[in-house]
Amino acid sequence: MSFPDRVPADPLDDTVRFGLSKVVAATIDLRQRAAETATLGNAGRSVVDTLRSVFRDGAGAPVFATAELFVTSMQPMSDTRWFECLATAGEVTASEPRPLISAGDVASIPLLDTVVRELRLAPLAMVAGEPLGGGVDELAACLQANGNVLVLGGVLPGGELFAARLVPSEPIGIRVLDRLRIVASAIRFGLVHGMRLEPERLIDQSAKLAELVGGQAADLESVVTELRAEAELFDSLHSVGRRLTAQLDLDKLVQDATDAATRATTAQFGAFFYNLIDAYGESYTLYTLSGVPRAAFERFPMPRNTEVFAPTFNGESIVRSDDITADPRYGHSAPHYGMPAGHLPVRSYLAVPVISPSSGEVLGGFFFGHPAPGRFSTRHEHLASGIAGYAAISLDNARLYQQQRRLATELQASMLPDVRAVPGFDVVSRYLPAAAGSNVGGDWLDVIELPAARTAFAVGDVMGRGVSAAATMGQVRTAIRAYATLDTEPAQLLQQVNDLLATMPGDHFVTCLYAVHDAIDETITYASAGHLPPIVVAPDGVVEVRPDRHDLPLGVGAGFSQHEVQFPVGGALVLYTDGLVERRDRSVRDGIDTFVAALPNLCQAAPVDLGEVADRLIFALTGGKHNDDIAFLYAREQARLGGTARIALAPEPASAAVARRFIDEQLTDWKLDDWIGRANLVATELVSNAVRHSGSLTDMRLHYVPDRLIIAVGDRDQSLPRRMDPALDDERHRGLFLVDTYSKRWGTRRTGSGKVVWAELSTTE
Amino acid sequence: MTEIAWRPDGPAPLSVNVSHPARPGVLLAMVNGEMDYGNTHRLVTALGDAPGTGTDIVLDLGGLTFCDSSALGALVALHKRTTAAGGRLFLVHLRPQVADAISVTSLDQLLRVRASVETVLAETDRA
Repeated sequence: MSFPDRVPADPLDDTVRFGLSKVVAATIDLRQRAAETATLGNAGRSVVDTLRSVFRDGAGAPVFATAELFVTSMQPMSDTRWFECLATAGEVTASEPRPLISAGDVASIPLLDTVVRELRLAPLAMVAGEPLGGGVDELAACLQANGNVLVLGGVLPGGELFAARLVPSEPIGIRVLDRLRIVASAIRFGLVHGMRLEPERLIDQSAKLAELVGGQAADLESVVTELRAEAELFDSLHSVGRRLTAQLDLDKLVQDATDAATRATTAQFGAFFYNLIDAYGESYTLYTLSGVPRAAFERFPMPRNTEVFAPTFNGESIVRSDDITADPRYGHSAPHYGMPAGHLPVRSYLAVPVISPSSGEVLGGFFFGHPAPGRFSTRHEHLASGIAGYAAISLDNARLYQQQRRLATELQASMLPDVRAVPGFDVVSRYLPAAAGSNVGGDWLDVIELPAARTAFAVGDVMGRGVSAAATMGQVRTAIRAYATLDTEPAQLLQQVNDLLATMPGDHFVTCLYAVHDAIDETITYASAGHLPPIVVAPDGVVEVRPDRHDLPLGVGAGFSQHEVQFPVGGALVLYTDGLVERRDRSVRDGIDTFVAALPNLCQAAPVDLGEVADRLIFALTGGKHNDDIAFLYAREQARLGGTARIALAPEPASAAVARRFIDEQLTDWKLDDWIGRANLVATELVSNAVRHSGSLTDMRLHYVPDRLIIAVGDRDQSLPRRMDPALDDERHRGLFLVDTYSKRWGTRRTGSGKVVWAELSTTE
Repeated sequence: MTEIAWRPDGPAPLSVNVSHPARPGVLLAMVNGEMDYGNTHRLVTALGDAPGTGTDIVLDLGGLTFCDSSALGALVALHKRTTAAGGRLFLVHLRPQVADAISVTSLDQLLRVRASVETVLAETDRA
């Protein structure tokens, strides 16, 4: 909306048809055209034509449908004065010259009667046959018929009178008359030209006109100045409003508002006290100053709710005083009884409460002061209250925004996993919230240590921002953690999370990648729901961006494929979200290429330097600017102490003994002689179970890392074993009880072809 | 990764030698080797009908280096059968792994674990 539309139209004024510029242009035209005429009649015609042509409405049509010009004149050789039409333009009805013999004749002609009254002429003077009194100063401008007829008139130098009758298309407002008096003067000037008076009288007329125009121009100037000031005020109020309501940063907002209001009120200084609620729900008050350094007020306590301040702090009313020190409310409160010593002197005082439009609560108050009395006008008051209104809306917005943002940040912070060190890996991870827009996104990262030397890595991105994205992220992340600890296979896990999402209200769109590293198998198994490809770095530094087909994001697709990649000891896995590689001036593909080119630096970095190198890498990729969240994870498997060994086993009873021989040798090699007994018992139970219950034993793996020995027995059956609590004289069911007793933990997980039952033995206890 | 082929060297070694001590009605059996799911049946076979005759049975486990849950189950079964026939089952000379397995499963509350054959003979003598 453009600014002028907001100015309420004054029904009594008419700046479109009779704007100052139009009036001035008309007077110039009237003078110039009349100067070219040689007779009174010509001058008259020039006047009516000019009036019709100069004044036009918004659509360009003449404002005056009718323009008639009448003059009085003495009949030659007689003492009778006549009133006759000199010239007409537009729609006119013929009118005959009328003799003015009696006062009744004058009164019977409404146009003449109006002019005579307006010029304060005695009607009898009109019929006396003498030149009319009154000077050139006498001009008439008045309205008839509710503004439907404009009458301009005056006395001509010869002692005669002229009267113009102008009928506008729309009624004319009363405020226009002052301006139109100049037109009357110009008409007279034009007629005087036509009368061919001697030069000195013309000069006299000209001087008088100049004087009049000068006077009017001065008035005009002041009106223009006033209007311009008004426009500026409205303008500034409007722009202050726009600026304030677009501002969500509280500190900037309140300072802006204070500066704008102080300027608008021409106060020497202004202050804005505003209430805020802290994180604990406690209210506290801050203030901003304008026009004066903060030091000027630092020594004073917060203003209290004294009689002078109460109407503002209680939100009751505006206080405006030409001299607050003379106000009856002033100077009654201890300890200062007025302004404290050292306070800037204030006589003119204006205070405006700021009230929340949403809650009606008093958000604060503006205070303006000036050492001189009588500085603040009604307009200043209106302006200040206008700015206070905008400030209230903005403060409300900012408070709501900050509330929402704090909620989202807290929510996300509370749910963002603190990516911890996991055994066997050097991990560096970064989560950088979007730089543009201070909202919170839905990216996340997770590293989950699984039993049996397996580690899960997850990265994801919830479409959208703010609280709802953060909430969805939290739920998805938690679900993934939960399914992960159940040792769910990646594709199955994504399917389960996808099913879960479908039960949550709202539409969700989540890209996610879930990968499990198995140190025993030396593989990474993963599934991706529309996420960017994982990057695998081989121990020799060869970087591979996994080329797998994309499955659809969670919440959209269903059915996720699972991929397996060899991951020899010393390899690294890199996961990331699009904020890292996506930039307006670069395709994602190029972003990934740039990223890949920079990876060797990271891969060569010592564990202690990983963080710093990662930061540099991210900065290089983003140029320090990113409009989206960035989540980044680099996990490099450490060189292992210990080792891994596997033996294939046939599904027959004797395999337990074979497994024990294998353990004897391996644990001797690994210098774990003390653990051979327990390991043998656990292995025997696991192998026996596989033989007995599945009939499809395949192999046994031993994985030794410092502190832990993992025994994993695979078979081709997916039914899971259950631990039983045998009765004392029970002849069976003690197998898993013994495994439970001798291992730190044990468990099972289904694999594509069957299951693995594993047990971890602590090698420190 | 170290990988060795499955060795088809049969079940774990286990021998059970049954002898008769000085006293009648007491059967002594020496158990050597490892006892697990794959070979517990040998113990049952070696003892024959003895558990069903009311005879006290003393298993000398001094040579038993390993026993799993199946072996424990076999001992429980032997105990129940011997007791049902009016006899008693004694276990002597337990090696640490076997003693530990019996104790963590609380079977020491069911099975008669003794230090030596002599301890058992002294005990049966008094009875």
